[in-house]
Amino acid sequence: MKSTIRAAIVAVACAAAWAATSVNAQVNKKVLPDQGALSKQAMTRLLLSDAARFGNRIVAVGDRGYIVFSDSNGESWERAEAPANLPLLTSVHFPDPKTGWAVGHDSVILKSTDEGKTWKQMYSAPTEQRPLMDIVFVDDKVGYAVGAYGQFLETADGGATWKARKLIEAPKAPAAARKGKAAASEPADDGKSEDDKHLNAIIKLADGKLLIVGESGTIAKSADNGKSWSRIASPYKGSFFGAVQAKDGSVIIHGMRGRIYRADPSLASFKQVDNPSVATLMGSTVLPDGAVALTGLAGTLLISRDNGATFTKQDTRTTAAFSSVILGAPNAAVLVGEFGARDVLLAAAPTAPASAPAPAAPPKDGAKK
Amino acid sequence: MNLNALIQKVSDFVFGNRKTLLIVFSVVTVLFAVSASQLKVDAGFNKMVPLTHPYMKEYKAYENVFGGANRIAIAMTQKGGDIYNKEFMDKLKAMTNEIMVLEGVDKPSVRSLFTPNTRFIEVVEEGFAGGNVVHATFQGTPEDLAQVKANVQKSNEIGRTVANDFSGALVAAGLLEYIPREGGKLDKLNYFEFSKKLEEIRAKYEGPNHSVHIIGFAKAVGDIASGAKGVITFFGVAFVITAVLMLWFVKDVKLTLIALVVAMMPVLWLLGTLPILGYGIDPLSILVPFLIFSIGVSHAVQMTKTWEREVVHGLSSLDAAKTSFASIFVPGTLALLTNVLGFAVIMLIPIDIVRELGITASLGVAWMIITNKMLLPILLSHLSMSKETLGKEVAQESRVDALWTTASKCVERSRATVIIAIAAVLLGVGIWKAHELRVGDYGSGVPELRQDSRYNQDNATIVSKFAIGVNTLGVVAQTKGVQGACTNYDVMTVIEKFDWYMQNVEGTQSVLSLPGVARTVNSGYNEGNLKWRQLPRDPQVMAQSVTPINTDTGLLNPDCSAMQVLVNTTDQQGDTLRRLVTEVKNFSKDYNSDKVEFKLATGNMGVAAATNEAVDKARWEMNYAIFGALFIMCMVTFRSIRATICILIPLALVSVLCEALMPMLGIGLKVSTLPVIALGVGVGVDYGIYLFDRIEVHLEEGKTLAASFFDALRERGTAMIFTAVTMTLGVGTWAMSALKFQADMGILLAFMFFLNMLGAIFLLPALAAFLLKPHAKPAG
Repeated sequence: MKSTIRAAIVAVACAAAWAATSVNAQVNKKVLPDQGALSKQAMTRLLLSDAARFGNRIVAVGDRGYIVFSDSNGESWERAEAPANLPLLTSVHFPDPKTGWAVGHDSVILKSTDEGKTWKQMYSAPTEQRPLMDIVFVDDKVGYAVGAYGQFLETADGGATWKARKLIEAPKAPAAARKGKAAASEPADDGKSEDDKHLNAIIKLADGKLLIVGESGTIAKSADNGKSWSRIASPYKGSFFGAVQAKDGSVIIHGMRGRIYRADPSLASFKQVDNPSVATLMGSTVLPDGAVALTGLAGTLLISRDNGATFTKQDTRTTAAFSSVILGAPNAAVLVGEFGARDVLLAAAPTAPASAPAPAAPPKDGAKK
Repeated sequence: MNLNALIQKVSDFVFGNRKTLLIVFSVVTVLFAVSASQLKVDAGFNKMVPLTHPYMKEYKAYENVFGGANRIAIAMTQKGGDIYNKEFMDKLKAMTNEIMVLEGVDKPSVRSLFTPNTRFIEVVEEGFAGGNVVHATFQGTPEDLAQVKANVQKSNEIGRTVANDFSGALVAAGLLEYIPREGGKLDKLNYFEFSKKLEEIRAKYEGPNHSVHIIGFAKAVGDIASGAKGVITFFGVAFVITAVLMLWFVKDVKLTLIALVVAMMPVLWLLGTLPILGYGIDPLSILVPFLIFSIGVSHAVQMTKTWEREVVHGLSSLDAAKTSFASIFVPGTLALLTNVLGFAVIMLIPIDIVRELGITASLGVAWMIITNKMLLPILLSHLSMSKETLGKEVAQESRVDALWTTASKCVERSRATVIIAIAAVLLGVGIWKAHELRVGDYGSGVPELRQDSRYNQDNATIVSKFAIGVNTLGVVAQTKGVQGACTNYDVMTVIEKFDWYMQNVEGTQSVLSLPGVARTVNSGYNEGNLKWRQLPRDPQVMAQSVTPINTDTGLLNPDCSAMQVLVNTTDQQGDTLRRLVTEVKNFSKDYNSDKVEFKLATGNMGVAAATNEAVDKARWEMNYAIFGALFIMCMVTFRSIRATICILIPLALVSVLCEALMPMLGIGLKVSTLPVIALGVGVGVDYGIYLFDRIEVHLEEGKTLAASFFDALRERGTAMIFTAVTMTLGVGTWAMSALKFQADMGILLAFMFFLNMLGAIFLLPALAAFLLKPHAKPAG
């Protein structure tokens, strides 16, 4: 019977196909490539927490140790080669175009020396259970990583070894110190001491000062390349998640419930900047034309054309949460967050005051923060 | 006792007790008619799924833990503008309350803006703040509306209970399969009635400014049941077509009436038997009465034609009846038994609804052996007809002799070669095309209903406005010997890994899993910071992230030993499901451990995947079984392998062509279309059996193959063509059905019925030319 023959042919074919698949009985690398080009599907679902840009390259880090880069203003992305089975990465920083640093949960610190294409793990401390939140280098050798529960790591050998220390060493006399501390800082409602507050971001200012912002209004500065730190009286009891220096030197810090504060380069005092939105502001950058961009939850994107004195809200057509913003194509920003990266065209600069210069070339190094 | 003696005995009994038998038949028919009035429409979820499939075993095992797939969603949309106006909110509130008290709705599971389980949470400096999205004091004032609007923004409800573009709101409800009554009794939820109540709600709340869209398994089943009721119209149409054709064909009202009555009788008996056996009628088996009627007509035609011919030859009505009984009883009964067997093969498919189709059809045909083969000759024996009426008709019959001459030339080798060559080409093309046949469904929405049906339009509207998954494949991560598995970092991490893996598979729209949600909760505890969307290693911190997630999300069982991962698929096509299932298996091969095991499948797409696999498997089993059964039946009857091959090859060719036609028409192989080949072949074999029965006789008389075939065609051919035409038209009426699967079945069966007839008239003799030696007797 012909149907039998057909059936036999099909059966043999099926058996062959089955044999082929059963040999390949493992996680399909086509579904989840270890490295190389990433599908649109993957990129719209991947949580990205931070992005940096130098020249044409955008490097972003995020969920499950993913480090991705794009040389097409966020149009297409590739996955960099990095150790497997890493947890969520929280921040990426390029002191120079060759050298990149990324930090994340399990206190991992990763380094790249080839423009972000391959990454090696330099440090991790999973049992500490204190995620790192940001990293900065003051020169080739000296760098600092900050994170949750007051975690503060320093390196003096270009990141080969890292040492934990307290941000602000307690005064010599313990009893007096405790008393002093209780008096100096308002005790937080969760009972955390000031030393245990999350340190969410660290940036280097143009004049060489370092600035840290963090939980419950934490602001600290260092004028000696991070050797010693002093707290700045906080204008706000909520948390700050990021800081950025505008072209004119003004420092803008931002955080919970849409709070924005601005100070002059001396960091003498922070004044609140008006923002009607209460969406938490997570990330910030200065664009080549001097515009300051802030982004955050609920699809928020705020743009300032006056070095952070005033901000206007820009529609991103989404309520997705964003954590970082970086220059994209000319006149566009790339926002990264819970659904990967997306391109948002920036509204044209207001023409009234002749303040907005034409978009300049992309910044030479990580202009973020 | 040889066969002829047996036939004689049966004949003596039938014709000896004509009056008694008539009375008995009448009484039985009345009793069955009474019983038939008790027939209920019965379309439960369990009937439609392959309960013995491994996925379904897991499905059943976890059904009560995670809740079945049995939910409904009722969306109210605002035409122009958004939902934040008093009229909309008032209507939504009233509708929510009405759904809440609907019998069959699991009250605590109802979710809408107006239920207390719809809350918002926001992060504030001091920690969290939250509350009901709609306050209990809501009055619909502008302030109230503004408050609701603000709360919705803070809540996680956009896309869930509120449309993405704020143009509508949703009421979601879980259903109880059984409704508890007083005294501990459980009543099965009647989907048909339930669906009607939903329609009442729709009618009440729909207006110039608002439209109501309803989806869910219960609604779909209700709509299918009401669509199935339309079948009665088609039955009427088919009946009229058959009656007109019959009248034209036999040229006599009395004969027509007798044939119709005899053909209706097994239908009535069948409908009467079902309630006695405890079966109901469902949208699939509702088609069986058509089929039985058509088959009944076809057999009645064979009998009346033979009877006519004998009367014209000068026999009395009674003698003519006796003679036709003797000559038709064997091939007729054999053909019917073959039908029974063919339909019985359908029972191999381990899906109850298909099994019942097989049982119903077999039963109907079995009854037909009694009604058709006994009652009809009795009725004919009482009939007195003028020879001239019949003579006219027989004269007309000779007009088709030209056709028979042409057909019988098919036994000439040269023509036979051409025909076989054509058949071979068709077979080749057929096999090539049949490879495109897909298991599962094409299109979106509920495949049983047409794309433009209200239900599927509602489905499209809701899917476009809300981010709810209507196609969900569930995978259960079952842990073993892990205390507090959902606070275990390793267990949660591997499930989270699975979540991400599935998110990357083509065909996944979104994935919902306990670790996925727990990550988000953890970030919520850390001021909503995305950088905390990570599973904590510390079991206590993990517990803090898991605790807010209730078991009613279906993501975990109460002791946290099993966690369900919900994969919302982009569509329900067979290929998509197969790819997803394959990847689930790939992942579990690598990551199943002594701690955690990933199990397929739950969710409606789990059911669909199981059904597809069952159908795919049954497809071959059924083809082997039907052809095996027919092979044995033909061998027993004709005791010749050559004759058997002559009969079966045309049927096999038509089966292949049918499978080739399906992808061309966008019809997938599924529960409803799977039985089509068995039905088509089971009925189609009749032609070959009737023809061969006569060829055999004439060959034994020493005639040439061409002459034998010509005579056989003269005796049986017109009735065959008539049968094929009436049956093709009869099932062809289903093409107008509101139910897509009935339309599909109608088209395919019509195709098979007609082509099988052509195969018997043209291909069968061509094959016989090579396989049967002209003077050799095929029968031993």
